[in-house]
Amino acid sequence: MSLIVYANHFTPPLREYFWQSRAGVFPPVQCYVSRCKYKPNLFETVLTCQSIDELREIRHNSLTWEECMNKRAAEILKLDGKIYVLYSGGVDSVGIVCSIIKNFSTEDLKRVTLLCTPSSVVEFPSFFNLLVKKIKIEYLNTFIEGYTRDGYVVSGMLGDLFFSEPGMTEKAFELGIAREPYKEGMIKLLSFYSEEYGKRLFDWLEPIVDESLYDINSTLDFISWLYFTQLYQKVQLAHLSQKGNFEDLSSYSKVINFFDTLDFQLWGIENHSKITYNSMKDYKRDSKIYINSVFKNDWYLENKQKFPSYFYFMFGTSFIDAIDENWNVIDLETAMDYCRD
Amino acid sequence: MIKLLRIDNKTSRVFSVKDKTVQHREVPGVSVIYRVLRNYDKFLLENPFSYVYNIGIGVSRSREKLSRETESRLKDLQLRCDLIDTIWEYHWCFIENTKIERHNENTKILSYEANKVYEELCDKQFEVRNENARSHFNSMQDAIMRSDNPLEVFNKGMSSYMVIA
Repeated sequence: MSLIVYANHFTPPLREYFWQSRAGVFPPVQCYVSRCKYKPNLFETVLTCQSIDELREIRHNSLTWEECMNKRAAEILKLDGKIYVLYSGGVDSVGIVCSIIKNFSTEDLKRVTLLCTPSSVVEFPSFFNLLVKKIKIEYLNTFIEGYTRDGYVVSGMLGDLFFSEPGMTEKAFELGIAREPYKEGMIKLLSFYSEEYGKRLFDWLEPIVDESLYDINSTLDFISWLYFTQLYQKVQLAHLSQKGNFEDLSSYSKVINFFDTLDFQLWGIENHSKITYNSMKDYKRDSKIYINSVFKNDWYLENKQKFPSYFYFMFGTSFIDAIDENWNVIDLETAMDYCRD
Repeated sequence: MIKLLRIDNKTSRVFSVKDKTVQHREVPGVSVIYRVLRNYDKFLLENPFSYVYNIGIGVSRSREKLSRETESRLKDLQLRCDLIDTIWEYHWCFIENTKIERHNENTKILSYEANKVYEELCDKQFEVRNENARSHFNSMQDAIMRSDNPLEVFNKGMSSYMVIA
């Protein structure tokens, strides 16, 4: 038996560099679900997403970001029922709403409801001025499962995955190691999180490079690949991992992670070397260019930086411990049975 | 901190007399408190309704008549009541803070229509968060009165308070 997700931020004291260090808090090594053949996982896991080998086989010339966005919006349009969009006001959900505005007719837009909190308004208020004229706004006043009863919930989860892990990327810029060769840079970065075990943690993680689908030279390359191969599944199941969101886990089939498509993944792989990173202001630039094509705002394009919208937007930051491969929620003690030797 | 606890069976309310901000609030766990009080001493049953007892500083002359066991129980009750009062103080601060956070630089550029929706979202968030916090603290209050280790219940409950907040 295996897990599909381990969401508890408590790190089991099974390997010394997974605990007694900040590495256990961030990056959340204990939550890794490797898509590679090499498994730095702490737990036995099975994939609910494609493996790296599968992506390697189906790899082809990808669409542009704009084509990916429009294609996905067209797929959402075909869904039967109401469409509830979790709108945090961050780049991902703004991008989703832009794709909906661009691809939905006025009549189609009547099926759409944006689920908001006050922080959704504050993050991009000028865009909200436009939204109130076009789309129904509702307060997100219940857990997500409630919305799946008469429609689909569209989420911006995974939008980060094709760019880079924002926290580590920001720290790499801060430490001045973003463009350093990854071996030196990553050891410095991981040593920031865990002074004592940084080097050993890097040695533990480094074999993922052997399976890379793009060149890994710099610290930023390594961070992107680490994030894409180890945390994709955890983020894919993030709404499910949040305590109380779902009683019936099968309802999760009606949660549509907008960015969870092969097109977006292949775009991220094919375009990795083209993604410009001079500072965090460049973060998700392709996504912001798309937004700017629908709602012109030059300040947003040039200056908008990553803001952890999700945590401000969603009510609560309490997580379940784990879910097994039969989609049963299990507690921490039971999860320990799934630890790898 | 609450020092004066009043039990009134007609209104089923707990009054925090020294608390300037939360003077008069309904606490569903009052029946639990009342049951605990009633069992402590016959003295407490003499006039249980509209009875005011100074738990905190113990100035009541009648208190001198209490047995050592009852005195010990009262100290225990005092601790529990102080903990309960503290959680409701936090609740009150939380509500106040939620109100204050409402406007900032970003909201100045909202159109009239957008601002109206924003205000509605704020009201709704306030209502929902308040309700969730109230529910959380009600459970805590009940657990504090029932548990053998009220401090542990308090610490655990308050640490998960951030989840609510």
